[in-house]
Amino acid sequence: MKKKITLIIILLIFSLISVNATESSNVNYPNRTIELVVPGTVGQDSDISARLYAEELSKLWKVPVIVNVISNTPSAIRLVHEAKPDGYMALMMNDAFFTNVAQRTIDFGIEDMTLLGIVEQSDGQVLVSRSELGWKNLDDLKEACDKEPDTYTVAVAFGATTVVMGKMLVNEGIQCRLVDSSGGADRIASMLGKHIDAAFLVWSSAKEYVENGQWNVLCILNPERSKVAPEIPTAIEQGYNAEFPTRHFIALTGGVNDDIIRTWNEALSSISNNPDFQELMFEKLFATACFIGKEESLRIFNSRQPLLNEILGE
Amino acid sequence: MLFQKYEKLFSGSFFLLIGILLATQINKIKITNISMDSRLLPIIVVSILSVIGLLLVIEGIVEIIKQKNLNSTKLNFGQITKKNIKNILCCFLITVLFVYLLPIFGFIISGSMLLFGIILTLTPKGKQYKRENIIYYFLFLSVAITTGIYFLFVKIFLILLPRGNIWP
Amino acid sequence: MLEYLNEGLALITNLRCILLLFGGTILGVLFGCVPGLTTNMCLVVMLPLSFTLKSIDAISLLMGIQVGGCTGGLISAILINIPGTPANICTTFDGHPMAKRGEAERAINISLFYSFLGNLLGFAALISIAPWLANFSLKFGYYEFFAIGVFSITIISTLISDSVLKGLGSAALGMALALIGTAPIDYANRLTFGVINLDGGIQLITLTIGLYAFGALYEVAEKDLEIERTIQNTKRNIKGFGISLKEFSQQSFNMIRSAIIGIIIGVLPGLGAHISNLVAYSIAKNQSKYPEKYGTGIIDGLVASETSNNATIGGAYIPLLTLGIPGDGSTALILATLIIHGIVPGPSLFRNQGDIVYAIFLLLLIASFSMLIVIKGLLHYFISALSLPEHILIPIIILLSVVGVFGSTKLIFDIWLCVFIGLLAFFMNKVKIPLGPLLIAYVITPIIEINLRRGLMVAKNRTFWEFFQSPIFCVLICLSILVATLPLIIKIKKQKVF
Repeated sequence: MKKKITLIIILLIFSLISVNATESSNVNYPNRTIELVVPGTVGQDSDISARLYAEELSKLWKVPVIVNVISNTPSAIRLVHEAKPDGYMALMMNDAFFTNVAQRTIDFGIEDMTLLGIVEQSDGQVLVSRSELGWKNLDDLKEACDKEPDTYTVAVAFGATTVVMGKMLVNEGIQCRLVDSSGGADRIASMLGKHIDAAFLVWSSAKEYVENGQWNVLCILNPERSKVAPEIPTAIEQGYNAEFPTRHFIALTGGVNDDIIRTWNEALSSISNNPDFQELMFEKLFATACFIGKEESLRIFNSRQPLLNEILGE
Repeated sequence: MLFQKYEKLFSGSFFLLIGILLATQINKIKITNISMDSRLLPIIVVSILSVIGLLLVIEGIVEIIKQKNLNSTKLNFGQITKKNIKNILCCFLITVLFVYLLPIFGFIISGSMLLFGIILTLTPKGKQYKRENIIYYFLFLSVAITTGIYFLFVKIFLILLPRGNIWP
Repeated sequence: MLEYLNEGLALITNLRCILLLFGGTILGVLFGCVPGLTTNMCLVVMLPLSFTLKSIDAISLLMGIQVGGCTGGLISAILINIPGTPANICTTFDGHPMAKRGEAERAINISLFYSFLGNLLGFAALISIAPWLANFSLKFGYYEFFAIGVFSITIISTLISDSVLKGLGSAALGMALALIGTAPIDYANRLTFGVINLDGGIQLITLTIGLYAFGALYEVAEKDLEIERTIQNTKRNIKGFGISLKEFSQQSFNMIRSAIIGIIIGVLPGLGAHISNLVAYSIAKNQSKYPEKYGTGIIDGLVASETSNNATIGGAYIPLLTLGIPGDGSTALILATLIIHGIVPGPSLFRNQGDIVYAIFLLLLIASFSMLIVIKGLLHYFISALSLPEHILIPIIILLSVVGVFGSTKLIFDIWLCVFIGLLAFFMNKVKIPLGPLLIAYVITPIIEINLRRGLMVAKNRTFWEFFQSPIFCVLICLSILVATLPLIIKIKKQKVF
């Protein structure tokens, strides 16, 4: 009997030691699986870009880096915010973080987390309309909306960044009606089914339908013309003060030590500045891989927050 | 037997209680002017629950009153014996303890405790289980299975499980 | 077309591709048959590996997982009354009673056979009428989806066998559970009692595991276990699939109807197999000549549930390949893989990469056979494994379910929810409140609410009357009224409410 008790106790101790001793956070970070939390739905651009980064990080650090996509954005953010400050759980998302701050669905800001930096920049989304409506630019849309205010529907996702884009246009005097949608795929289906008149989409999703004449592209919400689609005029060029390029960042929870931050920064910088990786990101997602450090990133995001608060705070 | 005898009363009270509990939360729902009022569906659901609960309670009371032999309405636990209640309570407490300890001690320790506790609770009291060292066999099984599951999912499938806060 | 078919065949006829397909199927079946570990979880786990493979190899691996997972769930649904995945919930209603009668192997064989047929019918729809179905699905906007939701809710009346009030109460409870969390569109917190972890609502996996796995724990604890109990499988070594030609012909209409339901639900984005099996089962019961037998262990229920959930797979590939819109959660993961490998689904895919399209069609066909071979081959091992004594099996299932719930949601709070939902299930079983209406209402309520709200946003004067402009909406609402009122009137007449 004593032998059996001893055997069990040894087995238990062995299990615990083998599991935890080699995974001590203090020894050679990182030495176990890292989790990259991505708010959104699987298959969307955020998910794909996170997986591309995860693969590169995994190759660099020789530990598994897994992507965990969580559909409820505030829950996803909160999960990382409340994680242990050991650097093994990170958040990768876009400006939707700040729309959530503006809408007060989370009660903390980016300063309460450890922002590592911006890792990806994408063009702003394009506004497309059904070609049978005959609109070729924003002026046509405005004219139609002036004739029949609050009639023409534009699909956005409330709680995400597209609602900001929609409200920017509304603030510029385009009296369209903003309608909620789940995501890019939902907006494509609604456009194809003619249930809505216009929608914000990433160019890679809209391109095919524009090229085959089903849709017209009215503008792109970028500060300047896109390298991917230089023929699309910006809203600013057309006299409408609306631009919202997308930036993806990576952040850890607050209170992470400097060594861990340095390890992340070095890794992200080396991956983002790798020409092969940049080409891959551009080819798959029409996005630019880059690494903009914490200070500059904070400056960019903070400069936009007042506008988001104003547009979404109501 | 108790539950079966007073089925409608219990179910009605349950729905009514849930309805009342949820009703206390309706006023806390933020009113926005985006599309439909977010309170509409909760109000409908709470109303349905309360009405159905009330109807079932009334039905249950009417049934009890209609029963001819009032002596038969005495509380009779019937098939639910004290041993069964003890088993159910034990299982519940073990699972509660498991979930409470999970973030503290991690999956392996808490999981082993869960398996061991529940196996011991549910094990029939027949002759073949009266061997002296059956407890040690169950303990070994619990630790081995939990450890195996942990390694399979964390190391091979990369599905992260709680490590426990006590570990560095 | 023949040229693309040949090229597609050339792409997949290599040992690596076929091995990956079979390997994926085995993995999918294993994940599917363990409650809590879903097909989606297996896909997510294998996604990084798939990125390192060639495109067709990656697709074959993931497709094997998808087909295997959807079918694997029937094993635990039948043997231990806990659905392996939400797509197998209705399989428990008739599958487990058959297992308790000593017909476990027969139940599994029949379910497997009809899963296979469901896959084939989905495949047939995919290769023959995909573009037509895709265009048909586009006609469904917010009004139509709302009507589908209402229709699905009214089918609840068919799952109410005893007390009408209890059935409706169960449905209302399911609706209440679905409403917990942030409201769609305006993100108002509802019914969360100030608990931050409830902001995300109660996930389907948490609810299913709580109701079935933890509920089963208390059921087993209540039993007087003087003797060991295992699944009694008296009828072993079933010949064929345990169904005679006569039975097969009797089930033909049920099978085809369920397949059509599965395909249509698969085609409509945002629904999925967890809805198709509930709807198909309910309609089968509603239209049956002997509805009172459903739930007692008849093969009709198995046929409806398993045909529809597998047909949904083929249906979900239709909008994916033709429009680039995933039909459900699993195909969303497949979409991510395709994009990573430079394959952009959409209208031009058929023109520019027809060989890939036909390779995918053929893989779906082969995956159906691989699923059949894998489960048939491993059936006795599954039955042996799940025939462990209940006092050992149930705790292991609980532990694996916890892994599944935590793996999906990453929150310990959800495990707390499972514990208390299990108590709820135990109580509901004791006072005979049916679980079926709760589950349907839980799954359908978000579809009803989001489409009602979006429909109102789109409607000209923001009024509900605009919904009636849609012919599809009107037809579905009329059907709903018909489905809802007739059985209820019959039941109320039979019962003396007061």
